Amino acid sequence: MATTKLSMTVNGQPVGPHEVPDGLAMVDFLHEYLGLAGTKYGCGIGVCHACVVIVDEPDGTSRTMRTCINGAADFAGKAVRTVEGHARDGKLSDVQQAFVDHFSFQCGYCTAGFVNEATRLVEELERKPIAESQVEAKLAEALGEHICRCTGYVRYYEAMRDLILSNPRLSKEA
Amino acid sequence: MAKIQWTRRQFLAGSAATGIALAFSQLALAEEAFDAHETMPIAPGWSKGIGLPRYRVDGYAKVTGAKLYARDFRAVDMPGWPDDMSHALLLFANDATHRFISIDLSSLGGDLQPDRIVTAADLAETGIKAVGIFAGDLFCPEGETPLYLGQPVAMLIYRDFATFSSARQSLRGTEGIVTFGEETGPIAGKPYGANRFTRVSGSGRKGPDQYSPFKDGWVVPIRYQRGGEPAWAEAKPDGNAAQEASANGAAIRKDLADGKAGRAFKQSFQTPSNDPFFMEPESGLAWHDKANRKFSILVGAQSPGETLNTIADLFRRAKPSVAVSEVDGYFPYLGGAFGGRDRSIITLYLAIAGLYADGRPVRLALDRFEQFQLGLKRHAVSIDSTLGVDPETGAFQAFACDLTLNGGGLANYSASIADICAISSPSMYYFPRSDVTTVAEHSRAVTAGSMRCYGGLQPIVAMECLVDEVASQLKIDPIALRRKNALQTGDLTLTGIPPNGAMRTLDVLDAMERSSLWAKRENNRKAFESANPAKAYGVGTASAIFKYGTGEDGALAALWFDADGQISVTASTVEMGTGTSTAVAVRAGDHLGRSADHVTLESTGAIWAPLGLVTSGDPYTISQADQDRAAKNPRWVPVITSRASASVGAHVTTHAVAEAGYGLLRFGLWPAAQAVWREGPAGGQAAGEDVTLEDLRWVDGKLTAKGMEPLPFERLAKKVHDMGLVTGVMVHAYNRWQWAKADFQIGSETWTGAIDALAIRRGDEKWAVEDRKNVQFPPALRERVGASYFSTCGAVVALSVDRTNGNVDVLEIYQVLDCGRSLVPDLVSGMSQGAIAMGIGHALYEYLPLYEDGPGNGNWNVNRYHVVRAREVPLRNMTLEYLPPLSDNDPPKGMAEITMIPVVPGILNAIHDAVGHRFTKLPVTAEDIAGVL
Repeated sequence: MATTKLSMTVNGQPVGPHEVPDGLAMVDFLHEYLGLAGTKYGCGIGVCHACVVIVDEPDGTSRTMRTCINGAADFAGKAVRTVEGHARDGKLSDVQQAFVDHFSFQCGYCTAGFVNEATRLVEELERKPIAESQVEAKLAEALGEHICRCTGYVRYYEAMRDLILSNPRLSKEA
Repeated sequence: MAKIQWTRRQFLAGSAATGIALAFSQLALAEEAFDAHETMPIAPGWSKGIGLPRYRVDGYAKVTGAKLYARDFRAVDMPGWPDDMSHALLLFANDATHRFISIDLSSLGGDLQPDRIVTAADLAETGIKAVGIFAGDLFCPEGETPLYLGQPVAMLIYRDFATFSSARQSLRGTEGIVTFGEETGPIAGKPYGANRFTRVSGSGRKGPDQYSPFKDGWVVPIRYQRGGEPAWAEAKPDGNAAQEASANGAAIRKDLADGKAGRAFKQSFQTPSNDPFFMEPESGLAWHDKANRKFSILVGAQSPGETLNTIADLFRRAKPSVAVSEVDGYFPYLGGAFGGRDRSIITLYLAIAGLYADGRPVRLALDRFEQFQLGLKRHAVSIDSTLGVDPETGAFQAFACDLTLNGGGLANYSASIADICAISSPSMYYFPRSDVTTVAEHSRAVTAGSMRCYGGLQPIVAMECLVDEVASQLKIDPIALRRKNALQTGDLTLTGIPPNGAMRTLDVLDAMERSSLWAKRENNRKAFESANPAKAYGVGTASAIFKYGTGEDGALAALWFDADGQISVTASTVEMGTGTSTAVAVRAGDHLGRSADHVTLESTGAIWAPLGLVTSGDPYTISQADQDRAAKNPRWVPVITSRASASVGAHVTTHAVAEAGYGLLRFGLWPAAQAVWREGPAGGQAAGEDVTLEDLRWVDGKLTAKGMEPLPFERLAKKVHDMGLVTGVMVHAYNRWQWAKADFQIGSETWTGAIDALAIRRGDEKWAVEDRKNVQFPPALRERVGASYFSTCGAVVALSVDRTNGNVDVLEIYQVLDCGRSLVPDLVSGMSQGAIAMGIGHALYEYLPLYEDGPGNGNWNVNRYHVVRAREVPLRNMTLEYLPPLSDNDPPKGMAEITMIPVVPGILNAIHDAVGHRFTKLPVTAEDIAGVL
C-alpha cells in the first residue's frame, strides 16, 4: 500500500507530518488523523459542497476546496481553515452569528460548508466591495451549488444578504 | 485556538441498559425500558427567558462544527471504550434476478484483504436472524437469488484504517466483486398488507354512518391472488362486516360507472420512488464487550427505544455463543432524517459488525452510493380514482380509489403506510360515500419505508390534480369547488370519525383566495407574458389536510427548577433538525412563565427510572381485555416513547412538557405564592381577594393574580425549595388519538392529568413515583380511528414554462397553514420553507427508477438524483401565512409534513394553467412538457 507523508497548517496550527495512504480524501484526513469532525462528508463526488474548507493563498486571497474529491495530498503545505477555526475567544464570527440569528439551518449538517463558503465570500468583499445591486447575483454565485435538504435555502440567503447589505465595507449603494 | 465554553458536555454519553428480557412474550412478561441518553450543548444566550428564543438551543454547536452526528464519532470519543477501532463495509447485490454465487476479492491483492469476512453462513452459525419488519436474509446466502436489489451479501471488517480506506477506494472502482450465475427471475413475496376503507354516510355529514371502518371495523383481504392482488370478501349486504364492505364498495363503484353518482371523473396517477437524501449518510459505531456481556451501539435513529429493542431481540434469538445480556445505546443528533432513519436496517448491520469485530469497537459508515443503495425510499404508488360529481352544483357524491404501493424488498412500515395512504386519499374533502382499497406489495426494489408525509403525499397530490380537472371541466372556480366540498368541523372522515377540534379548511381556502398571487393572476399573466413572449405563465392551487401523530404515541418529560430559579427540562425525543429541543424549552413556559434554561433530550435512559415504566403488547392490536388487565399494573403503559418524527414533536412531546409544567405550577409555585401573598397579620395582602389557581397569570416572567404582588420566578423558586414543596415533576403521556388520563393524589389534592404516570420531587429530594388511580387509556377500538389530528394547508403557485424547451421556473409561492399555536415561529417558517423546496423537487425533478436502472445497482448519487438548489426556489417570493390560533391555549399541531404537500399539485395545476396539459405523474420534467408543447 503506497503512502505519502504530508504536513499542512490547519486553523493556524501546523499539523504533521502524517503518513497517509495515497488517495486518502482530505475529509477523511481531517476526521481520522486530526479529529476534526466539523467538515462533513455529504456525497463523496463533489456535488453537495458540504465538505468545503477554505484554503488561504500566499497572495492574501482565499478559495474553497471540496475535501471529498480532493486528496489530503492536494492540501500538503497549504493553509487550511475549517469550520472549527472561525470562532474566537467565545465569540462567533460574523457569518456564524448571522446564521444563528436568522435560524438559517435545521439539521446543521450542511452548515459547515455554508459557513466556509460565506466566510470566503465576505473576505473577498472586504478586499473588494460590490454594489448592492450585485449582492444577489454574488450570493448565487458563491452559494448556488451548496445543497441543503432541510431549509429551502431561504434563511441562509437572508442571513448573508443582511450581513452584506448592512456592512458598508462589504457593499455600497452604487 | 480559542474554543467556545459550553454549559454542558459537548459530546454524547450513554448509560447502561437494564437487562434483556430473555423470555419476552407479548403479554406474559413486561419489557423494561432501556437506558440511553444524549446531551445537548446549549448556545449561550439562546433564550431571553420570557417570550420567543433568540435562536435555537443547538445553534452554536451546529455553526461551530461540534461533534454532534453519528458520523462524527469514533471509538476514542466514547467513554469506557477501547481507543483502537476497526472499520466495516458492506458488499451489495446489484442484481436480484440471478443466483448469487460468491464474492471475489482478488482485485484487492494481498495487502488490502480484510481481516474478517462475514457472510450468511456466519450468521446461520450464530443464529443471527432478522424478524418482524426486517424479516429476510441479512446477507444473501450463496446460491440464492437476492431478495431485492442492494441486498447485502457480505461484510468486510478491517482492523486498520489505512488498509480499509485503500481497499474501499479499490472496490468502488472495480466490477465483478459480487458474482452471479443462473437467471431465476425475481423472488416473489407476499404483499405486506392491505386494507379496504368503505364508508356510507347516514342521514348527514356528521353521522351516524350506515357503514364505516370506525363503526364496523377495518377490512382485510380474505386472501391474496397469485399476482399479489387482494381478494375481498364476497359482497353480501347482510353478511359480516367484510362482506358488507364489499357490498357497499361494489354498489358505490357501480353507481359511479352507471352515472348514478353524478358525472364520473377518472384518473390514473403514478408517483415514483424518491430518496429522502438527508445530508448525513447513515453510519454508526458498535462494540461488543464480551467480558462483560455488554453490547454498545451509537447510531443516528428516529426511534431509539425501538432500535435498542430490535438489537436486543436479535441477540435474544441468537445462539448462546452470542454473549450479550446488556445493550447500551447512544443516540446522537441526526443530519436530517425525513423518516428515512425510522427503523432503518443499518442498525442490524451495526450489530453484526460489533459481533464480528473480535471485541474491538467498529465503525460502519455508508458512502452516498451505498446510502442510495440501501437506504429507505418513498413508496412509488399507483393511484386509480373515480370521483362522482354533481355537474350542476359541483358537490362530490362518491369516491372510489385503488392504491398500489411498491414496498420494495423488506416489509418495514409498508403496511402502515398503505393505510395512511388510503386514509389521506380524500385530501381535504367530504364524501358521502367512499370505497378505497390499498395494498403494499413486495418487489425487488430497494426497501420503501417511512418518508416525510408517510404515504399521504402521493394520494393527496393525485386528488388535488383531479379536483382541479373537475373544476376545469365543469367551469367552476377551483377554490370555490374546494370550498363547496371541504371537510368541515364535525364532518366524518373516510374512517367515519370527526376530526379533532375545529377544521379550518374554509379559513385556509379563504386565505388562498384573498392572496395577491391568486387574486391578481390574470393581470400578472398578461404582464409576465408580455415581457417574456417565449414563456407561458400559470397559476395553480392545491390544498390538503394531513394527520399528525401515529395513534401509538408515548412521551416522557421531566421539568424541575433549582433554588436559584434555573429551570431544566428533559424530554424523550431526538433532534433531527426540526428544533424540537428548542420547542420543548419554550413549551415549558406554558405554566412557568418563561422558557426552560437547560434542555436535555433523552429518549430512553436512567433519568426515567423513577417512573419504573413497563410495557407489553402491540398498542395497535391489543384487545380491550388485555389492555384492561395490563393497566392494573400502575407502571404499565402501552408505549413508552414514540419514534421522533416531525409530526410528533410539537403535539406529543411538548404535551408531556406542558403537563409537567402544570404540575409544578399547581403543587409548587402556587402554594409558595399563596404563602407569600398571605404573609403578615390578618391574611396579608391576599386577605381581601379570593385568589384561586385559575386566577394566576404570568406577566413579564412574574406570577400575579387579581392584583397581588407580582412575584419573580427566582423568588418563588427559592420559596418552593424552602417550603419543601414540589420542585420537579416527571410524567409519561400516551395518545391513541386521545390522551390517556389518570388521577394522582398529591397531598390532599387529586390531580386528574392527561398523563398516565407521574413522579415528583420535593425540594432537593430524590424523585418519588406516585401511583395512579382511575387510569383511562384510550379504548383499544380507538385504533380504528386511523387518524383524527389534522393540520390544514393550502398553496398558490405561480410559474413560467419556457415554450422552447419545457423548462419550468417557479416564480412565486403563497402558502397558508393551520399549525395551531406556533411555539417558535422561526422554526415553523423554516420548516415550511424547506418543505416547499422538497415539494418543488418532487414535482419537477426527483425520480428514481425502481429496478435494475435504479439505486439498487449502486450507481446512484446526487449527480443523478436532482435535489433542488437555491436557484430553483423562489427565495424572495415565498409568502407564508399562518392562521392565528383560535385561543391562547390551542395546542401546537404537527405541521412539518403537510407543508410539503400542496406545493406539489399546485405546481402541476399551474403547469396545466400555463400550457393546457394535465400531467398525472411525478415528476413532470422539462422533457415531458416539451413533449406536449
